Amino acid sequence: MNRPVTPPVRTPSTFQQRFDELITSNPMMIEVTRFKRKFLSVSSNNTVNIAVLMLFGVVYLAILALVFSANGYLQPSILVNLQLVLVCFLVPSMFHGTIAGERERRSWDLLLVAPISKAQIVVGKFFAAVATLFVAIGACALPISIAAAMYAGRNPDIARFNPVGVVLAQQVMVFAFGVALAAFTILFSARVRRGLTALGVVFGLETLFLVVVPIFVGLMVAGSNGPDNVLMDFTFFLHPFYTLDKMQPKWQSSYEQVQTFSPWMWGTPQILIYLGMAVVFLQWAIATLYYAENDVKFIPDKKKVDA
Amino acid sequence: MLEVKNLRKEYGPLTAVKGISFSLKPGDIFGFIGSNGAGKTTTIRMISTLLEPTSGTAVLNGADIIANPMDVRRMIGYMPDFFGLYDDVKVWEYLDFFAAIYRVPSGQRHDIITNVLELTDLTVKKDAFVQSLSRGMQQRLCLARCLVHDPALLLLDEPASGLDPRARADLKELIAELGRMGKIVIVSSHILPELADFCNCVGIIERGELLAFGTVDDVVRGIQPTRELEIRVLADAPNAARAVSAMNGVHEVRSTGEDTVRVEFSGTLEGQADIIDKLVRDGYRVVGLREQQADLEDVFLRLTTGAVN
Ligand SMILES: Nc1ncnc2c1ncn2[C@@H]1O[C@H](COP(=O)(O)OP(=O)(O)O)[C@@H](O)[C@H]1O
Ligand SMILES: [Mg+2]
Repeated sequence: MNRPVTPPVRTPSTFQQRFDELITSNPMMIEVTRFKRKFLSVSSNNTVNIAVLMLFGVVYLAILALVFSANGYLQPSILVNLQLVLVCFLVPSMFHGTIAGERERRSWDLLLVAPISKAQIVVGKFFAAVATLFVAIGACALPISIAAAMYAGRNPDIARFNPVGVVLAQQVMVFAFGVALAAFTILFSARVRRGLTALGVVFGLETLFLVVVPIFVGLMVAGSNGPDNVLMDFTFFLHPFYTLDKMQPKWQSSYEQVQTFSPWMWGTPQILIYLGMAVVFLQWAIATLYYAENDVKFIPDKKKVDA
Repeated sequence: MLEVKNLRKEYGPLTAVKGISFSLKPGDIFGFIGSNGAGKTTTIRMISTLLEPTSGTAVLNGADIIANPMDVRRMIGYMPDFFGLYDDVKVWEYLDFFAAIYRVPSGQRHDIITNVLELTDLTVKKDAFVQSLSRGMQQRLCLARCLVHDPALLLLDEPASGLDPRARADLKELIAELGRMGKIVIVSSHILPELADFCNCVGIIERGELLAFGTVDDVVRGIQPTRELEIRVLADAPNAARAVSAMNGVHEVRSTGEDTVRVEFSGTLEGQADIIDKLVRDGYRVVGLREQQADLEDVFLRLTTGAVN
């Protein structure tokens, strides 16, 4: 018996399709342009924007001046920490309105009636956030590299505590944390009606998890065992500032050799986990939007129902 | 072809739309009239797939709003009662963005956007930032946005609100043009005169119920089957009144003074001509005749009690 030979049908892999839908041919990628305009352009007739940009320019110049005036005695890691502080404040303030803002501005309906999936909307907005973040981190990288170079030039011995590789890895870590924070902010922006609510919630949770809980746990744990105990490492495994510190080479207690931490313990896992968290947050945001398609169902309007 | 079948929406104990049904064909411009809170927006949002009906459905060219919302979305253009446009984009980019979302092939976008800008009279503003447009222009831009994918159904929720008379007139002209292009257009309003003259089909909604639906004439006739004929004669009106009182279609005849006969009439135009004919043949000197038909405004006031949910 002759079996008819069916020619193999080449169907594009579903991954490829998904990738096209979400990235390469996602019309929501116009958000990237919009964000660029919003945050990085002086030509738009937005005086607030120009004021904020100028403020940033001043701060940026101040940091550069600081780096140069320190004349090589400024540890780049201080700047990286500063960069992380900036990320903690800037990411929520820039992205809290991504979805809630559209609800407030009432442009959201126009997107929802269009034949575009929730995933496309969220991914488009997320990439706009990431692109902006990338530019911001890139801008910070300049003074940090200058500081690192000057530092190394001043004192090659001390420079062992800030090897270029570590400084770079720290930046990647900060970026990954920023990405997760952006996804987190977008998630809350998707879940509430007002942008300011999202901002408040994200700042609140940040304060709770990055400040209040660490102080509390630190007090409990440190008193008993000294700073370098395992419980502490475990508790703060995902704390970005703690991680930055751990990535940094340190003096041994003998003050003779440099103690380095394995990048497989501090750095790599955090970066991967942050990126993974970003994916989870985005997925969650998409699910939330599906639920919130009809915002009435999402947050019943008490006043109207009672009327 | 749009078929709305028993559409119903409940918000907790409140039923905003109580099972509305109607159907429209291409070229129909449907005026959806009702006071504030009557349920217009809720109905329109359900048809536009934004709001899930509690029960009932609507089918547009074979696509069901519940079973195939994505197919429906490709075929509709929805202009909400309140809407916002984006900041930081130019008119052209804004339209291009929506053309992309609606998967208009990129080779055709340029021409389509040019046409749509032309139609909505925004060509000169194509490089302006949308936030710099006036209210009327933003309204037109929102409409332009609804048109880039050549939708079969347009849902315009109170499109004329907040516009000055000039802009209103332009908008009406534009909507009439869309009807001529063979689209189904649903226009809602709480202001009657706004709709009466260019809709070929109206529906009156109150407290979630569709009280009347049909062509303007049908609706008016359905509510008030008779029209009043005011006949002026040179003299002898009371006798003239008696002369026509038994004729076909005549319900009631009154005379005022010596020169006016008022006839409540529900017959055909043929019958109307017969009345005049009879008066003339009987020797009455007819000077003129005026028809007074209830208009939509009367119908609306007659039908609705002004109560809202
Ligand atoms: N989200 C909601 N929750 C509860 N009730 C609502 C909601 N939206 C509308 N309603 C009620 O439904 C009724 C119809 O409202 P709507 O469709 O907006 O009327 P219209 O557009 O004709 O002015 C009103 O009584 C309104 O209060
Ligand atoms: Mg309304």
